[in-house]
Amino acid sequence: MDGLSSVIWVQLGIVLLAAIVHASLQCELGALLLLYHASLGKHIKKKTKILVSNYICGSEILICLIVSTIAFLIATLTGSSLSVLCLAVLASVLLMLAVLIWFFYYKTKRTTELWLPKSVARYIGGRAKMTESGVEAFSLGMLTAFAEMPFSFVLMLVAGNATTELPFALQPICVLGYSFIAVLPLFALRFFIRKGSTVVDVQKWRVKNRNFLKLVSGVLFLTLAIFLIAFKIWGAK
Amino acid sequence: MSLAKLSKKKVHDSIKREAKVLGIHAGTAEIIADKVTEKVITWSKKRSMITEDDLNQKLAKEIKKFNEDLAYLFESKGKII
Repeated sequence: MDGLSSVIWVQLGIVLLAAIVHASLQCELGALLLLYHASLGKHIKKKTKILVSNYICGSEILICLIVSTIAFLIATLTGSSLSVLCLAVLASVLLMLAVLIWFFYYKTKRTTELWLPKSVARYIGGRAKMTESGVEAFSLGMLTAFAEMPFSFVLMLVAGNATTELPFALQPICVLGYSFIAVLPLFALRFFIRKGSTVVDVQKWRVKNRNFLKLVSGVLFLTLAIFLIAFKIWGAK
Repeated sequence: MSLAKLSKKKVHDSIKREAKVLGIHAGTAEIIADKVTEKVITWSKKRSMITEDDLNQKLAKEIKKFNEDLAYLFESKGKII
């Protein structure tokens, strides 16, 4: 019984850590800020609230769908979960992503421009400006969650794999929990704007703390990699 | 960088729209927009070509005299993600 519960705690720890790392990424937050910026200039506050809720919903649902698809595919294709060798590859990719975050996540030293190709960033900005309906905001949320994939896919893969090793009843809770934690910064942004902060306040904060956010994000990637190595690779021997 | 098709109305409206983002009173926004638009149009007449970046920087510089936060919105255009 103790052995089983320790396995469960390790899997829950992996999912929780992966979700926190996902939450530290900035693309979805930046795009939401753009949506706020565009919408507050055009619409009444109530409409902006609806658009923002739809955006968050789109982001969360896509993350939820991807994690559950990954978990399903792993369970179907491997019969249980990924092998130690696959996990070692994932841990290496996480280490590499930590380095990439430190050196390449932001394009310049004074702004919060991300690694995204200019055309993609412009497209997201353009879509944020053009968003008029809830459906468009929902799709924008999905689009930005998708645009973040080069960094977030491994996290979802790790979380999906950990989910397959949990008892069936815990699996949906885990997937929902992951997607909720991943979009928590979006809820936080909504809360601060509601409480009277402006788009400028938030953006200034992001610029001021960009190095700190980059450091935290990289360290979290590193921590997840070490966690995987310690509990899933060495722990499996 | 793309060439901005500059018109007095477009500049005026963009300042008022950004002012609305910050919840600046409509009357105040109108006064800022009137004053800044005039200066920016005069500045633009001396140039054969203006990029969006040039325009945003000029707008930020002029608006800074009235409202720093509003100027920041123009300064940070296209630099959020």
